[in-house]
Amino acid sequence: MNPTTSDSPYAVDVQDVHKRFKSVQAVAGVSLSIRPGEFIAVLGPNGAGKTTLVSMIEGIHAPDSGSITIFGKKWKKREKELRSLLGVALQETRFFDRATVFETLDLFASFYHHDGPRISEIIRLIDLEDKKNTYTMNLSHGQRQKLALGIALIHKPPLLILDEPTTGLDPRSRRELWEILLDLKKQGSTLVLTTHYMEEAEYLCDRIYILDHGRIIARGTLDELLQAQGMAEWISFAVDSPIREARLNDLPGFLAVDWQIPGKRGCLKVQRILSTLPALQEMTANAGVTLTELECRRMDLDDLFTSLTGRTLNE
Amino acid sequence: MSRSLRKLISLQFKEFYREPEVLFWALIFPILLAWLLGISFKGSGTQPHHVGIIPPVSPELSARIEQLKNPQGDRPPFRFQRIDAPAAALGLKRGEISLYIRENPADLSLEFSFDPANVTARLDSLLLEKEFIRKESASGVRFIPLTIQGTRYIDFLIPGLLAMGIMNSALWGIGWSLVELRIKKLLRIMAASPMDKRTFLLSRFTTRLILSGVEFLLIYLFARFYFQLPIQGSLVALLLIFASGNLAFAGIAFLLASRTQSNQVASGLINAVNMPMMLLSGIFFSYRNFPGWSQPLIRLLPLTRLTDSLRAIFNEGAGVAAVLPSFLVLTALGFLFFFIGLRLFKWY
Repeated sequence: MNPTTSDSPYAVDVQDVHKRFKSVQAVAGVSLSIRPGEFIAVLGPNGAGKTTLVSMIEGIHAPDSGSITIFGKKWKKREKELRSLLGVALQETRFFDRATVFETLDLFASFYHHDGPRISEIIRLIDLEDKKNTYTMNLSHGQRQKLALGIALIHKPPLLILDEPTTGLDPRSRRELWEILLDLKKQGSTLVLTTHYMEEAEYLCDRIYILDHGRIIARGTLDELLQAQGMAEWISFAVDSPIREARLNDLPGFLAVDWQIPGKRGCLKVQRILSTLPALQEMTANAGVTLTELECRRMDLDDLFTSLTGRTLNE
Repeated sequence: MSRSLRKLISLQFKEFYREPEVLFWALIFPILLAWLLGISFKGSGTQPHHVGIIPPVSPELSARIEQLKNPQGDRPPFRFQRIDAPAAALGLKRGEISLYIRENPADLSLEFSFDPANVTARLDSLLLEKEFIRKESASGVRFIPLTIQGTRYIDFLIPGLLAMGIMNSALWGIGWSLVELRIKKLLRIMAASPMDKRTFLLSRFTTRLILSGVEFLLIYLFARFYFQLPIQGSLVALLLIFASGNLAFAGIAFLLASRTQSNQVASGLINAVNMPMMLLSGIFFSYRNFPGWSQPLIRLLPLTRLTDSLRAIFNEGAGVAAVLPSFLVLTALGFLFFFIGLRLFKWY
């Protein structure tokens, strides 16, 4: 769904953007390009500059330097035109307390010159048909976020910008929201999503930008990102009596070990769980110690973030 | 009127009437307040009417007034206080007595001194005149009209309450509610849509103007029929002052809401604006009791201007020409504050 015939191949093109608020350099030289139909995630801890970055894309803030184009167009002097290409939803929006879901959508629809049929369509899409006549103050957090998404979708925007839409939601509401977004993806929408939930980025998005201290510290598909970090896998274990580290070093595919309790509880970084795990079991059996805990997993975005920054994503 | 504007306004009305408490505080409470204050300062039919009497008093008059202490027919009971002339003047101002009587020792004729604009006083003087003439012996009664500021307290109070209503309606209805929308991030969401920002602000002002008009009308009608408070001046002047007062306080409200991010700060700012004005601008009691040097400063306050203009229209029969300066100043203030606010305003 590309609404323009402009020369830019990108739905969003951000080039070397900087933004400073008083003493804080919120965004320090970010570039990213998003093709129409792509879903991308901007992942980072609180204060990484995610919200500032997306509000510049939304045209709420102007960058101090650098350029931003939306479907090849700059914000300056084309505000109204660009606003109609954009749907925006934020974390924790609240609405007019005593307006119903329908009235709220109806109000926003009037800003876009849409009416009746589209509102019913949206209410169906966000699955709030039974809450249509409920005051927004009586909606649950998850229902409010659906309504926020509904508002963002009223005018069928080719570009959706969602700033932490699922923060604080229970897993079920989060799932429901994801399903709505995946449906939109099939229809060709473009999505910029900020989140600090790595599953969300993993589940919804084609590509991921990891932002920290206003800079992009890694970018690519999930596989690319993991590969760049050595595509490691993890075996967490605990044993009933201490084992020597040298024994672990000899395991096939061994990369490193992180001790939580030296000799007794740790995390093995290995090339392939499949080849290391049997050897680990054999080694412990031979040494006469018993494995009391064992957990295997692939490296994920949290690990990736930790290995890039030395901090965890949700810190 | 654009569809967005219509929807924005109708939604605000719905928000308003769907919250019964708001209806109470905005519409019923001011009337209750007016009633309560009016009642406590009015003095009704069955209560004694107080009259001052300045010595010397002839034994004859003394005997006569003794008979008036009890009610008779539809005549209320009278209480006479012997006081000197300055105390009598003060008593009139304070509403402690409605008129005072002086007897001429030479011919025993009587002088009634009172404010002709004060309905109670006029009534009392006529009643007393009838009483004294019926028991004819002396040589008649003379009425001495006095001009004293602040006749009935309710005449003084109602325009003040109306002015205060306009101020509070704007400060809370526009100022507070804008801050709330900002905290809810609803302003940001709306700013991210192609909504026309002027339409939005216009809708806020229009809604408030209508609501404050309803409030004004209700209080006025109540005062008109319950306390017999007429509008002596020009209705056009009243409309001009009402509109410009709303404009001035909408501008102030908009300015103080332009950046505020929290409820606490918003209520602090609103109180910082309305408390001093409520006390200084003579809503409940005349600011003429404040020290002389402070009077010019007090007159600079928009609420003082609004209150004084409303009082002039209600009680002094002011026309358009008399209130035109206030109309212009209030309108200009409104626009000034609005444009400063617009420069500072944050949508997120």
